[in-house]
Formats: sequence, C-alpha cells, structure tokens
Amino acid sequence: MEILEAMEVSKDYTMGKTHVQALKGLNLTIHSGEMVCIMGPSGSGKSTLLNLLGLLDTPSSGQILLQGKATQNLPYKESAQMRSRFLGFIFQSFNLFPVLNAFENIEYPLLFHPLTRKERRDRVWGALSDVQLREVALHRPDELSGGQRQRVAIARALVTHPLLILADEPTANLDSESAENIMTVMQRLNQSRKTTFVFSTHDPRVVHHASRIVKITDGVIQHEGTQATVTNILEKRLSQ
Amino acid sequence: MKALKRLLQISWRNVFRNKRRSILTLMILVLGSSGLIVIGGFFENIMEGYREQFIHSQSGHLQVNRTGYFKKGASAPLDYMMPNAEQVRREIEGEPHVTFTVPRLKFGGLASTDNASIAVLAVGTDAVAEHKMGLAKAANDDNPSTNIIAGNDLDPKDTHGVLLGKGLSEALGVKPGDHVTFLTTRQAGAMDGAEMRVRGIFETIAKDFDDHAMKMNLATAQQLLDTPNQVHSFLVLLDQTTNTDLVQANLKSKFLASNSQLETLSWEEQGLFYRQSKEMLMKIYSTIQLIICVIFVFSIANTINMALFERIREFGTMMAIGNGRGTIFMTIFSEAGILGLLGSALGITIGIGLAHLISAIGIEMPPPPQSSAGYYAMITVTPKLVAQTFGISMLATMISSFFPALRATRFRIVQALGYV
Repeated sequence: MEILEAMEVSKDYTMGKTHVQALKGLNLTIHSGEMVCIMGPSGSGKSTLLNLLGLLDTPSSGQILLQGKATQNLPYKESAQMRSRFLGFIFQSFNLFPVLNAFENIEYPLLFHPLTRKERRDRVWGALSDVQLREVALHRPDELSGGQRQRVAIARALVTHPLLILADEPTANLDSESAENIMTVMQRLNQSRKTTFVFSTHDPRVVHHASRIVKITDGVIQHEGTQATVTNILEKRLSQ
Repeated sequence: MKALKRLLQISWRNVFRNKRRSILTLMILVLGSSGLIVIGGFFENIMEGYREQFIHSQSGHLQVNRTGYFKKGASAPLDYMMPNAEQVRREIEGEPHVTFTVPRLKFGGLASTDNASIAVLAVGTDAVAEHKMGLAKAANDDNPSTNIIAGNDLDPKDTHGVLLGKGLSEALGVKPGDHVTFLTTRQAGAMDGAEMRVRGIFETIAKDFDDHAMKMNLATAQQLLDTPNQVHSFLVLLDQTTNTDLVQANLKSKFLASNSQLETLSWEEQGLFYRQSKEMLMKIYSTIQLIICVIFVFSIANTINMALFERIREFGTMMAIGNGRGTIFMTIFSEAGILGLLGSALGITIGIGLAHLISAIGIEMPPPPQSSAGYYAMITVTPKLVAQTFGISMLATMISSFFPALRATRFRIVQALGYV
C-alpha cells in the first residue's frame, strides 16, 4: 500500500547570491512496511527530500501525496496536524527537549492526541520497552549517552503510531557501535511492528538494514532497488 | 488542559535553564517592584496624613451648608446662614456612618492688641465637638490634628475665651491669658466688639489657617453677629473616610427630596491644595512607574530574546512534531509570564516587608508646603498599590515577550531545525 508519493518534485532555493536546485523532478513512492534508505553524498539533496516528505517544507514544483492527499498547499495548521497524526521524526542531533526527562520527551507528542492519561502512559512505557530504555525513563537527555538519546528520539517518533517515521542521518552523531544498535532497533521495529522507516545516510555501514535503497546524486535518483541490485549496478559501472 | 499543564511545566523548567540570567532578570523585577511599592506607599502615606489632618482640623469628611456658601460665602457670609440648624443637624446625624457633627459659624473681624491689629477669620464652633474632632491623629503623626501647643482648648463655660492659630498669636504677640479686642459687623450692619481672653494656641497642618484663625464658642459668635441659633455649616465626621461618597450621596438625595437648598461637599471637594498635591505626586509616581516599566521591558525582552536564539532548533522540533504556532507562542509567552509573576510576587513581598520596616523607624519629614509642622512619614501599602505594581510588572512582561514570541512562530521549520 502506498503511503507517500513524491511526483516530479523539485526544490530550488537561494543561498546568498547562489541559486541552488536541490531536487530536480524527483519521483519516489514509499510503501507501507518498507525500510527505505536515501543514500548520497553531502549536498546531494537527501535532507531536502526528507524535509519535503515530512511536510516540513514545500516543493518548488511537483506534488507530495500523503495517503493520496496532496500536501503542498496545505495551511500551516492542517500540515501540522498531518505531521502529528501520520509522521514521526528522528533527527541527526536527537533534538530532545533538555528540560524533560526521557519519559516526558516521549510523552510530549501524545499531549496533542485525544488520549487518556493511562493510555498515554501505557504507550510511553511500551515505546520505552521497544527501545529498551525503561531503566532510564526518568533521566534527562544530558544524563544519557548519544545512543540512548537517539533511542529516546526513536521512541518519541514511534509513540504516536505514525504511518511513517522519517530519520535524517540518525547515526551521523554516533560511534559505530551505537550506530549499529540504533539501526538494529529500527530494523527490529520495522520487521516486528511493520513500522515504515525512511532514513537518510551517507554511511555505507548502515545501508544493509534497509529493504530498499534510493541513491541520490545532485538532486536526482541515480539508482533504486534492494541493496544487492544497487551494489550490482555500482560494481558494473566501476568495471566499465 | 494536559497540554497546557505540560506547557507550563516546560516553561517553568526553561525559566531556570540558565539560572544566572534568570536570577539577574528576577533581581531587576524584584528591585523595580519593591521600589514601586515603597515609593508609592510613601506618596500614599503623605497624602493619607494630609487628608486625615485636613479632615479633622478643617473640613470634616463632609460639610453641609446653604447652596452657594462654599463659593461665595467668603464675601457675604451673613447671606448664607442656616436658620433651621438644629433640624439639619438631626437629619445629618440620623444617617448611618455619621459619628458626630461640628457646627461652624465663620466670619471676618479685626483682632487688636496694644501693638497690632490683624484681620482674622473668626470660627464659632461647638467646643466639645471641635475638641473631639481635633483629637484625631493621622497614622503618621504623633500630634492630634488640632494641636494645642500652649494653654487650653475651648471651654463652653468660658464664653469669652478664644483659641488663636499659631501664626496669628505670633503676629499679635500674645500668649495664653492675654487679652485681645475683637471687632466685627453684626447682621444688621452695626459694629460690635468684645474683649476676648486667649485660652490657648493651636497648630494644624494648614499654616494659612493658623495665621488667621481665631476659634470661639458658637454661642459667643452667634451673640456677636446677632444670629441666635444659626450656623453656616456642619462638618460631618464619619466612622471611616472610605464612607464619604456613600454618605454624601445619601445626604444629597435627602436634601434634594426635601428641597432644603443645602449642599454637601466632600473633604476632597473642599481641599484644593490636597487635590493639587495629589495630582502632582501622582504625576511624579506615574513617571517613575513608566521608567521602571521600560526597564522591565528591556531586561525581560533581553532575556527572552537570548533564550529564543538559543532554542530556535527546539522550536523547530516542536513544530516538526506537530505543534501549532499558538503553542510556540504560548511557550515563550508563559516563560516570560512566569518570570514576571515570580519577580513581581517577590518584589511586592519584599516591598511590603521594607514598608513595615521603614514605617517602624519612620522618615523624619520637614513641614510640607503651607504647613508649619513636620512629621514622620511612613509607607502605606494599599491593595490598589499592590495591584498596580503587579499589573505594571505583568504588563511589562507581556509587552517584552510578545514580539519575540511572535517572531518564533514565524520561523520556517527547516531553517529552525538547521539553526546552529
């Protein structure tokens, strides 16, 4: 089932006096239960694409359909509601609220959902269990390691039961062991709970967790497919 | 509700995220608020003291007289006599909150000794009621409103005994026991005079009054003017100054209903100097309030702006996970609100404490303009002053946080998330 569809999406912006075309008529479809990796070097347009898919920004042209509904012209309030209902976000720098403990950080997005206190608490404890962090529930972010912070961020994205979780370079600020742990957690959630993930990375060590890889260069999709397919294509190109 | 509760919780914690900065802002708020309480309370005390002394030495809480007497009576006092005085007195004293009345018969005359002749304002009054009225003390003064500084007060049995104001006695060069010749014009136009004996010297807050006034028994005054049983006015004394408007309204409607041709003037309407002084002090205080409000606005705005730029990414995250612009606005607004609330509450509490301390010691003050006696000023904290101070702190807080909060709602999510 299609959750999200990018149709001929382009994004232009100006940096100082330079005009940048970050995405050039890109097409991409995300299906339920997938774990999609957006790969590419710095400046290739990965983050721009994730921002557009997450309704954090609007395309210069083209359309983003979330559950078949066009989103590019939505007013701020409606767009915020759609993000709150359907999407979860994991950020490179974790972006936890420093004044809230792990439990409160995870609970925060639920405060804007029509849930009872018990339902809310059950969901938070469930999410903490999913990321195996029940023991640090009352710790504030500055008392947690980078890996633990990112797991809290995953739990925060997970707790609203979104259709799709978007993770922008979730392992970029982590050591390799923590990065592997985070990807394992995401993969486990993808397989056991059928949570759909789209994550961006330029780290080839975490790519194998994805069910599909989308390689972007200079704002266009170069290759798309399973890890084996993409590897074959890249090897063929290298041999030529 | 749960979101608002959590929002306030987050705001509360954010206020103390940068303790040093918040404490500095709180100190400014505390200093400003306590300063407003002390200065406002000082002014309030000055006006309260003057008001009570004026009421109990000259005006009463209310004055009832023939219509027009207050404005034109000085030039033709005999045209405004109250013939049915006893009936009017009964009507006034029948009103709730009225404790007693003091009849007054005022007229001009000439007081002479061997050395000097001076135009005086003769005040015929009920010696007992006048004494009772004059005994009242303002909260900040050890002396009664009419202070007998030499000799004795009026005695109803001493028909030719008079009291002279301090300035008048000095000008005539007399002391208690000395004699003064007093001349005046009777109702029919003939001159009349009497030899008066100075029983005592009095002092009030109004130097001008003390320089010209000679008090005597009402019966003596009526006899001199040949106006038996008539008075010009009744001073009305109430249980509380705050009941003035109520009793004035009741008396006005009563006299209107009976077509008595009487007017009722409050102490404030009679006290031009009080009104001018109050207006001047209020202007000074308003200027101080404005200055402190501006200081509040700049210091809170500085704190909020710094906090805002440190947390742009945080606001980006809030918006990314679905918070509306209103939530972002309220987050910043409530943080400023908490700062304002804490600062003003602490400032007001400290201000009240300081007010009690200063009042216990007292501030020695020179005689105010038009007065001859100094006094000890205190700090009078009224609910109105506390409410005003609180209102100013909160208003400054709201103003200073409004624009930063508005700016935060206008961040683009992507820019806010990428802000370093």
